[in-house]
Amino acid sequence: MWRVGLVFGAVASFVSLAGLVEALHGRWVVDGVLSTGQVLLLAIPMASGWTAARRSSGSLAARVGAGLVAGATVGLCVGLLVWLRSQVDLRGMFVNASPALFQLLSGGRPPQAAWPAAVAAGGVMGLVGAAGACAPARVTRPLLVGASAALSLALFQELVLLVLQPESLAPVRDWLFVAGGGPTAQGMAAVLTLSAALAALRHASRGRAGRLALPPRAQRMAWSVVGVLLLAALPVAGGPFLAQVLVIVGLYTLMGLGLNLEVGLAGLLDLGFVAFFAIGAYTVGLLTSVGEHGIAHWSFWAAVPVAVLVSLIAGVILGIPVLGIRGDYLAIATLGFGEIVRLLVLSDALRPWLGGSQGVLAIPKPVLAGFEFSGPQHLYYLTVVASAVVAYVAWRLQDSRLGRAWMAIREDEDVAEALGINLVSVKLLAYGLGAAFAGVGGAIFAVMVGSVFPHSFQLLISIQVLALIIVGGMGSIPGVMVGSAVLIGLPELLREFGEFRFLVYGAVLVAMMLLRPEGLLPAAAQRRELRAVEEEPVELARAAVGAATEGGG
Amino acid sequence: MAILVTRRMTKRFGGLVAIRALDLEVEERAIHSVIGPNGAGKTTLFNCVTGFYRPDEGEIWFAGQRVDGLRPDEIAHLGIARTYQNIRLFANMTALENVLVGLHMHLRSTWVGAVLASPAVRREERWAHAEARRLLEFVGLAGRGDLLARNLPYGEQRKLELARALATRPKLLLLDEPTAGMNPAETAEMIQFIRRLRDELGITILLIEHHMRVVMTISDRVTVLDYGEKISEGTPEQVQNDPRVIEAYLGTRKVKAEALG
Amino acid sequence: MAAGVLRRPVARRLSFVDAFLWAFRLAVVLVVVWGTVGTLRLGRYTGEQWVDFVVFGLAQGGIYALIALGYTMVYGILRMINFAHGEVFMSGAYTAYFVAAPLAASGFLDRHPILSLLLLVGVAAAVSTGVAVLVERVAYRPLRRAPRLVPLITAIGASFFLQYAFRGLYGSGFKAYPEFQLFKGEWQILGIGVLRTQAVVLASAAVLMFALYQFVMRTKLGKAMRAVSEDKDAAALMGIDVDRIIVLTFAIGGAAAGAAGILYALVFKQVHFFMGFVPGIKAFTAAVLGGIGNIPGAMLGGLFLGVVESVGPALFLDGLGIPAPYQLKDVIAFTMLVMVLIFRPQGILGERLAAKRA
Repeated sequence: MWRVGLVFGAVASFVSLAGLVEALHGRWVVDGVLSTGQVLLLAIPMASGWTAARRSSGSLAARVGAGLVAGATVGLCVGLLVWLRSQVDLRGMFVNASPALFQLLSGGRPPQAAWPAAVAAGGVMGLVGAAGACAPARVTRPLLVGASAALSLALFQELVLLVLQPESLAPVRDWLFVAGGGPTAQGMAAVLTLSAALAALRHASRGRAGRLALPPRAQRMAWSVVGVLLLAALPVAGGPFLAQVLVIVGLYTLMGLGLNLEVGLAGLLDLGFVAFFAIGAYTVGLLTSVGEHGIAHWSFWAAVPVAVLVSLIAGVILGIPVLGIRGDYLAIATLGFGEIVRLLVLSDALRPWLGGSQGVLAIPKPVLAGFEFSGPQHLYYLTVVASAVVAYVAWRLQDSRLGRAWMAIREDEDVAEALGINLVSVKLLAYGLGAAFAGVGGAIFAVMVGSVFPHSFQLLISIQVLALIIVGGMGSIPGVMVGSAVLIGLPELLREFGEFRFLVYGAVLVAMMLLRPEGLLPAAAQRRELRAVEEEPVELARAAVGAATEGGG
Repeated sequence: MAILVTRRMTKRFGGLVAIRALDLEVEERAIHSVIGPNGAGKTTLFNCVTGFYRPDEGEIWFAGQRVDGLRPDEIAHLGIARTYQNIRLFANMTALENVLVGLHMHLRSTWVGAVLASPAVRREERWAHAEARRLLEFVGLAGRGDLLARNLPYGEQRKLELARALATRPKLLLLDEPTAGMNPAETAEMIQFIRRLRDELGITILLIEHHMRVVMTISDRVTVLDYGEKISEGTPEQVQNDPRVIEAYLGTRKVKAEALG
Repeated sequence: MAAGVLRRPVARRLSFVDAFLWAFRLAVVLVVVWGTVGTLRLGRYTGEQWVDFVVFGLAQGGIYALIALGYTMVYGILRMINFAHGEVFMSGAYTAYFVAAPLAASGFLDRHPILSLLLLVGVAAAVSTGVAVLVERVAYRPLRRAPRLVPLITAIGASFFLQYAFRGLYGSGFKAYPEFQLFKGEWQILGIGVLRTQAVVLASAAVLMFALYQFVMRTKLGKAMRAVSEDKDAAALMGIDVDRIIVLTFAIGGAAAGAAGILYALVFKQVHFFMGFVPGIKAFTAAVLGGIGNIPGAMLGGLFLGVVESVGPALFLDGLGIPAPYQLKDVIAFTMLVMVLIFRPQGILGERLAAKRA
């Protein structure tokens, strides 16, 4: 339990010194009382207590005691950090070791007095965590749901405020939020209790839920109608900012669907994927630009099919040399190709044609029957339609003869070949179609920004796309959408979070592989299987669940 | 008539000669076993026939066509299928999907057709699913189609591998130790099954097997390899009484009865 | 995962894929030959300049070689690419900056340059070792039996995490490394004027590599490492604590990368949270060039890559009339990477590991 506490203490010190706590401190959970930064700090000893209680196997008292010690150790670490800062100037090394941070960590107390308070606070939170680990799920689950709901409201308060903009909603707004500030205590309490109560009700009535619901087909219909209406209404309700965020989410969804064909289905780990996004964007840029690099002054609608075709061909051409490379070597080789493409575009050598680091400028917005897709709210609908079409194509491919061949080469290339699958054509189709999907995204990206330049196409993008399909669940189309909403949408909405998003990506990639390798929404085959075994004997079901969660890439 | 012929086929790995100048003839609709001690080159022979290895010397002919140098998928198209000693299923696909992959080369739909969901593609997919179910039923896996391959018990995995191989509609089926790890009842069942493949479907069987009772029960012909060389060939009785075989297996002639009885 | 037991025969009928690959080879050879002839005809560079290019190339190659050791040793033992190794390299150099800056400000650096250098290398190596061991513990050890792509993905995640963790801790700007007065100017070595920094870097890299090679070949621990790399299970049966040896491998690779970080800072005079990425990829290229898993190979591969990258833009590209050829030096390195992976994954020295991993 000491060691658990020390590990979490190190985590607490790290998030403090890395600036995460202070960045989140700017957002109130309850105006004037509690900030998200403080919640983060308090959550760490709580998690520490939870882990320690989970790990210790003794009596109830022993487990609670372990939680107490583990939480208090975290507090001690933070206290030590505060003391250390009073002795040496940490800021020379750690840029984020600001006075404001230590004001927050010490709760405004002098350094000598800070550590007992920190230990006490840590101990209490550790106890809470341990209690959570010992209490039955019917108690903890609703509390967890309530806390998450309250925290979500705090994190997305700008968005909620945006929706509550109309004057008719003013009473709700004023009841939930302090004018010009964060949520009110009463509002938070209401949200917390309401969602906790709902969760408790749901938990209690779990056995009967199946009979009360509509037949599955009607249910699915109802959900799709709700989904379509929601998609159509979102930018209207949320304004241009939300629309912009959603367009970006849509572009990443397009790329994610493409990379999902390669990695998720065919098992070809491609780290140079952003090159095809770039090729789609540059093709549209060059064909439509009215600036100096424009070569054709075509309309967007004429340029898009060409861009898709060019991306597809590029995918095949870059796919040919790497046909014989497997596994991790393939990842590095494609990374090399992606970087070569970017460096060539950036170089002065190709400047006369591609504009070097300046890129291709003056790309006009698409016009359809006299209507110009000018703002993000218009481009949003374009993106949604494009994503829907591409998702449909991906869905059709996945359950087709070709999709099965892709999965077969992912599982065992040699056996697939011995069953008569031509590896060359199947792999090249994966590269080509995946690239074509990314090309669609690139085309929309070009008109969204109005210019294309190499800086937009760094390796980071490829890694982000990889991260989102892993988080969503490899090989799962809804997973791609959820993944891009979570990994791309959320950080865009949490503006102060911006500089930490890659830190979180890295942590999420590692954590997902360790804890939930099948992703948030696992691929269809696994779920189909889980449904199938419900009617089977219990042991089989258990084995299947175990296998699905241990699952893999 | 011989359906599979190798002529003076040699395969080396560095300095090691895995198969030396092998002449082998497998008659059509025969059950032909290849036996020999560990490292005798049996699996290497399979890998050469299916195109995973290219023999260094010699020729391989299948159904009147030279096949050495062809890619494995091309050889599969000609009608050779196999199973593996250590079962190699597509573990994260369902049993049904495994068999559907086996049907791959008998399906015509292109990716464009699949995207457009043309009537022809829909019809073909319906047929393929029905055919895959039928094959699962044929090997005794009715109702198990929606389980992931890796979650099937060992014996059923063996059956699934057979169903997948049969889906390619082979003329020649190479079985690499099909009864490994099976109890006597399961082994007897497998012997029956292999016979049915030959008698009902007319498939020629080339078999690697360590289990001598199985070999002696079902083989029409047996070839014995040792250190990559053919040391004996003939009917089970002939091979059983060949002193060279006994020596290869035991290094001595004394314990003949225990070895082959 | 297709961890095939089977190996594809190398030669086969000429398909369109083979034709494409031959065209690719031919194009690269043409560019190299054509460019070289063009450059030599132009005669824009003096002999002294070529020597400078080569010496600089050797110095940076020495750095690549030191980093490459970490890749190659880890690959030798775990058959995985430690994608986060570039960040291990960065972490040491970046942290040591906070020792170097006060040393320089107090004048200690110039009063005791050798002592300071040793101190900095020590700090950097210690930090890098710590980071490498931490990454192994958190991101790799729990996944040792997982399919091959899984540890690669956690490695990518760890790499990103480390970059942005150090960005969060130390800031996002470039930090100018203090210069050693002693290492300014040139030394005359065999009648050739060599920048002192580069001579120091090359010499240090050589000493470190030699020490490391001796460690692996001569000591008991080194032998245990080689045994684990040959066959983990057999080594465990012989009473070797495999986990401990793996940690040791990461630690040694980390220490070498940390030392390389200081040498890098001496040559390029600045550090940055993103500085590990490109040298990391290049060092990996060096490791593959020399035959991954092969320690002398990594050293040779590093030096070779360093020289080609330094000489290449002037020699191959200038003659083609390409403007600003130096911008394309990374293209040369990446092209080498891609070509080695495609055409000769077993590396120049041709270690037979390729067969083992196929």
